[in-house]
Amino acid sequence: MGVTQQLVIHVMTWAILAYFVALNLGYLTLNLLSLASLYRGRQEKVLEELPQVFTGLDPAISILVPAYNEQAGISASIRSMLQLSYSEYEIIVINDGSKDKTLEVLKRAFDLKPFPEAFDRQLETQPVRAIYRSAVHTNLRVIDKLNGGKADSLNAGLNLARHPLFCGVDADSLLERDSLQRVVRPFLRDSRVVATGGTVRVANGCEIEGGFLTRVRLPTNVWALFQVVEYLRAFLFGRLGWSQLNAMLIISGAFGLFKSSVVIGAGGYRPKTIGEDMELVVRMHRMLRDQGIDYRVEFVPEPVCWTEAPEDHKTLRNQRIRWQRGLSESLSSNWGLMFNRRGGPPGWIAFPFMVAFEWMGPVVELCGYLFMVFAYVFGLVSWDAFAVFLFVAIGLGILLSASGLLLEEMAFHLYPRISDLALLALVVVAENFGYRQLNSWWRLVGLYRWVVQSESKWGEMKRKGLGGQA
Amino acid sequence: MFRTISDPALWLAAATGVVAVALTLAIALLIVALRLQLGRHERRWQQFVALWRPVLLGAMLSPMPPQLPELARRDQGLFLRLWTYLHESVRGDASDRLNRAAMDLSMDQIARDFLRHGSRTQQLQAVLAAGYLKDPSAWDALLGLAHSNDGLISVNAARALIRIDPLLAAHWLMPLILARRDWEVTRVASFLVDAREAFWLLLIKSLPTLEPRDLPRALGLTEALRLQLPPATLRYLLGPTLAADVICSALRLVAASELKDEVNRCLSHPDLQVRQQAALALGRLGSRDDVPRLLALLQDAHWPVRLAAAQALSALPFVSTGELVALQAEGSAANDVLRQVVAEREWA
Repeated sequence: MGVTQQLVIHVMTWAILAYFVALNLGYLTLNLLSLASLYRGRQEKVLEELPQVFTGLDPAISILVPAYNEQAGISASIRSMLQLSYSEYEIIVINDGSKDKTLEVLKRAFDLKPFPEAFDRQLETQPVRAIYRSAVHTNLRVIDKLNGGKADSLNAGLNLARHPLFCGVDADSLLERDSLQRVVRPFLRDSRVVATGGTVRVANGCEIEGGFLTRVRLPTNVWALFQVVEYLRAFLFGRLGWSQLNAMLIISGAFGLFKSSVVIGAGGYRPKTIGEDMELVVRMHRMLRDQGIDYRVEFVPEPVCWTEAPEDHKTLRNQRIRWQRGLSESLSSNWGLMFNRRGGPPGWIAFPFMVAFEWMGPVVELCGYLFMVFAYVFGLVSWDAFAVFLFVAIGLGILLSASGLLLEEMAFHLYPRISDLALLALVVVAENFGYRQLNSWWRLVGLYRWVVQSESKWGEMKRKGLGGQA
Repeated sequence: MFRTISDPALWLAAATGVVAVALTLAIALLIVALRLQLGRHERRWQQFVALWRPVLLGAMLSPMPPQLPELARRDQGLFLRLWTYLHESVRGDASDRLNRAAMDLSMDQIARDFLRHGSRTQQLQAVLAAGYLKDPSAWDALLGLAHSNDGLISVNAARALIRIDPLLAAHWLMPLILARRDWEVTRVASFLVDAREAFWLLLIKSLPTLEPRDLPRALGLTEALRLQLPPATLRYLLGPTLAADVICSALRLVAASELKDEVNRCLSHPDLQVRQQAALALGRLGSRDDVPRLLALLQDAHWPVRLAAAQALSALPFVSTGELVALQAEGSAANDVLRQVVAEREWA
């Protein structure tokens, strides 16, 4: 082997190792920040347990529910949202030109009547065909509009929203009864708060009655099981950690609460994007930082929203490809935040971290694996080096997932049976042998699609349905 | 090149992997320990509740002094947890009897100890308990905690002080109530209900001297507590030199027709939110003479102002639906908002 070859191998090996160490140190730091936050939260449990009294002074909330071809579950979802415990809220369902009977189902279930509602077109959207009010639920309205995508639907809902805060909710999400009370708290505590995100958990396998989750169980499907651990990691130490630095760049579209005026001021959701939820939050950071406004984006670690995770390879693959495309769009369209003079923690820590480890992560990770295999096969590195590389990569991966499980056990212990914990521990180990690498591959495909495509559509997902939503 | 494990870089990598595995094992053990601890705590709590809940419920209902079992030192925290929970849902005699039971167990003394030397959880429990017990001996410790940087402890200490002596507490806490941005307005308003009058008196006195940045919060509390400010104070707050958010808050409080001149002046304010609030205020106190002003606002360049003008017209009892329909038929920028308010009247 020539000197140049040796040097290339040497540099590559060091670079890959350094990348893995930096990535995992970053995550471990987030983990420690989350640990401190959850520990403080535990001390405050004494107040959480007390009977909650509505003061009637909490800010009113508009819940926006974009719906596209949701005829199967929309009425059950809306019925459960109508039972949320909060002093004042309205629900606005936006039928985004569904091709199925979503609108007819809603009309029948909630006795909808056309109403000549006036609204301010602060955000441009596809034309609205009609607005309906429910004759039985005074706080329910439905917008019927031409198809324009999820972001366009949310903008149409925002144009009609009456309240100072709005909450974007996916039509297929299951909310905890006290979810609004929980996510509104940071707004009450601190007037600088402009957005809060809640923890989303996997509902597959759980027992559901009357549109609410009644018993937490683990799914039996292996794809869904892997996602349970992934969600713990993403929410409990990912977002909670970033929230401690006021640098959270993602609020899940499945459940997030925003100050309406700030979102409208930022131009609303960006139409024709796939990751409209993340794009909005990154743009809000960029604009508020540019304007020198003192603000906060906070995360609420308590589980407030449950979602059905894909249970088959194809749907999961498509979801992950979309997520990576969404991430790419969000970062590339807000590049001005990166190392911006006024960028603060979002611009100097979170954005570069996202670019290096979430956006380019799949490229580096797969290149790393390929390089090590290549180098080993061609005798450029020894078996020792190859084995150690795998050992470190997998060991750190397991450590991170295990710490997500620790945070869950410390703060919420939602999975009551010891057998559940044992199964999760098994998944924590198993996901590092194939599943994570598969995920990286899908994300790489997502990156490729982002480079070559621009079209965006509603994400279609094959659903089994969350049982018992009567 | 990375041939053997003796290579320093490889050795370092291997050591990192070993540390990761060791930490993972430690986490696994910790999770098991936490689960076992949770189980123990849960069982102990259930046993405690099974014994003490009937005792405390009996004490709440009976006018006779209760026969209380002995309380183990390690159960003091559990007692406060249960006792506070029950206290949160009762008032009057039941509350007094719960206090008597706690006093019999010297919980006032224990709460004072927790206030001074307890962990953060114990301090929170003690703050709640001292408030329910209306314990004047805890006053100084609570006042100190009300000034602490910990938002949660400080706001609950303020609440406890209000419970102990509403008048004196309002006096001491007024500067904090107006300045502490980390005390949520709704929470403060909910416990200030017990000191409503005292707060009102202090507020009226201090409003003209407050810093402009404190005025919106003070007016927010006034609105939340449904307090009425004297016309002279409101006249000052509607002054053209004050910030738009202050004027908006003041307009929401206007309920007397003697302030109509000030409200009318706000109808031409450059800030659209002020014009919007002024229109809504006219809807509450307007007369026939004000209709032309509201009609003029229907042509405002900003949609929220036009909507507020239409809602104000619709709120005036002497404006008939027929008149609103006629206005709509005239055709103008306000057509959509007039159509809505007419439909709303019919819907109602």
